[in-house]
Amino acid sequence: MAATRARRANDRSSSTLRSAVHAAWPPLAVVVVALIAWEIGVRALEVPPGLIPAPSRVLNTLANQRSLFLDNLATTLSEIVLGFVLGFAAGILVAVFVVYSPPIRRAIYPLVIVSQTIPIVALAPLLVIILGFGISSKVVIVALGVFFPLALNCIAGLRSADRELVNLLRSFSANRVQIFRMVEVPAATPYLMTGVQIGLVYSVTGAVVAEWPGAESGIGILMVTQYALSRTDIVLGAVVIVTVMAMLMFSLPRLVRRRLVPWEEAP
Amino acid sequence: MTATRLRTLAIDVLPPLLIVGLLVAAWESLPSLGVNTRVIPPPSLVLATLADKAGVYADNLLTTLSEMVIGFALGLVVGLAVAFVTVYSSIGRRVISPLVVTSQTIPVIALAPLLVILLGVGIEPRAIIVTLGVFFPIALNTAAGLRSADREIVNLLKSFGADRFAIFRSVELPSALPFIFTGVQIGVTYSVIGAVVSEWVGSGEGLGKLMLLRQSALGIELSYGAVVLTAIVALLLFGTVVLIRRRVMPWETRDAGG
Amino acid sequence: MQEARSQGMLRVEDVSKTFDAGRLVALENVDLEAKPKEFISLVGPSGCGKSTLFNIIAGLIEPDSGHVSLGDADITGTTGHVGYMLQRDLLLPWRTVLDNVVVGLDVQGVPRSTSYPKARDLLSRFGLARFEKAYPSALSGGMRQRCALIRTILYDAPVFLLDEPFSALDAQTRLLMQEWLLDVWDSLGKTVVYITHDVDEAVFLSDRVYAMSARPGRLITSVGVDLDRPRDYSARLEPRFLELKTQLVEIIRSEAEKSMASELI
Repeated sequence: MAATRARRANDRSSSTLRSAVHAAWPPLAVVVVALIAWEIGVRALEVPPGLIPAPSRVLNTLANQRSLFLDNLATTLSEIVLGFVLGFAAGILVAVFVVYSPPIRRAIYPLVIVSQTIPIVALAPLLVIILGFGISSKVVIVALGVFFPLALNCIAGLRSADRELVNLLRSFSANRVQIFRMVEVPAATPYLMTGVQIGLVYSVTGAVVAEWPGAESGIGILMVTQYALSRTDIVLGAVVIVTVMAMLMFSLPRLVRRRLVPWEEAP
Repeated sequence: MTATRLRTLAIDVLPPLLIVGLLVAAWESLPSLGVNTRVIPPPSLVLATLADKAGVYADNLLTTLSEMVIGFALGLVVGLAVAFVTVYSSIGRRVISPLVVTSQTIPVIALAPLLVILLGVGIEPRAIIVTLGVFFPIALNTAAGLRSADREIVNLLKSFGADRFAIFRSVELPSALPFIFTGVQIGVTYSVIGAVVSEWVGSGEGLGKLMLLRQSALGIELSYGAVVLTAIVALLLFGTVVLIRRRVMPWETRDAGG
Repeated sequence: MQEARSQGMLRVEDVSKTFDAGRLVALENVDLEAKPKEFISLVGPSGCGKSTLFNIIAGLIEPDSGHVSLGDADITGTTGHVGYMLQRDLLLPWRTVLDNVVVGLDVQGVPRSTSYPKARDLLSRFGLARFEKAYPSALSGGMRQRCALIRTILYDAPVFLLDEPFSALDAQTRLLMQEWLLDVWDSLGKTVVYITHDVDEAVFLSDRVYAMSARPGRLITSVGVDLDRPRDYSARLEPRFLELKTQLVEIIRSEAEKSMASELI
């Protein structure tokens, strides 16, 4: 009985691929159908390209204006990466302090909970006023948005450590550091991964939207400036790029999760 | 108020309030440290402007609120409808699920420029951005809630001869309520962001538009005021939902709602 | 650390413990002892403070008064002297079976080159060699408890403290595990303090059974079990077994009634 369970765990990886493909094809079919309908519709109704360009035209523009897109993409990506690293570090730091220092917890934890509701991106225009048009204002926005899920998940994760497991280690005369390393950190890891997943997905829209109030370069500011020039094909191209980024940021942590949290049972 | 009540209030409420107080005081003291008030106006100035230009704020607030309310209401209706269809109709689920899943891969807010191109600069594109962002968490949470009904209780009621509607009313709906509220909380938070941010694209009115002002000292003060106002609106709306939640479901423990 | 863990007499002297600022008296002047290599059991109704006593012996809680000593050393409030097993297996979900059983030795700083071979040997003797790389979630309850026992054995403390380790298992597995525990105890020569609410189990396993009262926990009496060893399931059919069991059941039963009555008020 248990032997089959162990064997089944190994089969899990191949069947997850199969079920992923099985789940993916209906949405894929929808996308394909929608694209075809769009293409035909735009041509048949002779819609002006400044209003709704055909998918073929968008793809064309993406190819021809490659360097425009790539340059701007590079800026936005750097905002995402820097912001994420900052938010991640801050999140873990605050989490550790909140969990292990009661006075800090009392002072800060309620603030963290309440300030979650405040829309962080709304600060973007103010940060542009203060920090200028460079990437720093966007990095801050991304960092703030990553900080919350990371801190909260890390706090929950550290607290999830089973009291009795801690007692077991104490019975072996484990010291505080050992207990932290051997019980609390592994217990927190799945929660941390979830926080990373949430944070990464946010970072994409966070960075893009934070550019709208003003930026020197980036996919977000590209969208806004090209909208003003009625280059809808470029705007759409930017949307495609943002979508692909979001999809990548969504799936990357999931792939890594199996390696970092190998003991998790499949949902 | 009893002594212990006072004590718990002091221990739980004072420390964060103190920190907030310190932060505000620090912000207020920035000009004396040489920070240009044209870049960071102190809170006293921001509040004065809020009071002074209340009319301007009220008009713009109204615009943004109408985008939020219309967008949220629509998103709620669509979200609940999608949830019911996917849970109670297998054909419905097979048709709608892929559409919903696909729609979620595109970050909704990024569509704002497109929608403004298509629909002009009124409240319509912004309300639609809000709808698109609100319906998904509501649909997802409601569906999860409806499905969370204890199977064995449902079977028990069936064995008593209860009909579909009775089962829905007495088991599935109550089980779904906490989930629906969570979805609403997420939706409400998003509405504020969706409305304000989509106003950054194109011309028009609204709190988001106010935030983009920076040509004059007054403009900057108005921006800061708009951000503060937005934060207050977000907190009030969220708090209201939480209060309603506690009234409707008083048996829930503290951590459940927020 | 290893040297201090002598194989001496385990003595619990006059131990008392209260909780909630004196409002809850968990243990009152408890005295018991276990000679080296002896198997003793504690039986009592639920809420009698068995688990509190367990945690005091393990050094996880300090008693309000009294001492715990092992041989010549006073071990009150100190950890590391006992091997500890609960009803829950307490296997770390993020470690493989092999890494789980060596966890006590990891904490002590024993290099894996030393601990792994010993661990593998025990795993294969207990029929778990195939699962050394598996995670606990893949194993059944009985298998997990066996891993927990291996972990306890590997830690190699002179005293084993077992708190209802088999009560979460189904009846058949439980009987097998009991016989198996006796085999292990026989070959290792450890002192075992076994806590249970099952009088049958206590008489079957032990050399001496201590009966505890309802809260506040006091030791009522101890009964020596003079059945021959090695014991197998047939020991349960002997008349002497029934005598001892009846004696203890009567004591415990009246205590259990007292415990229930106090809860109803």
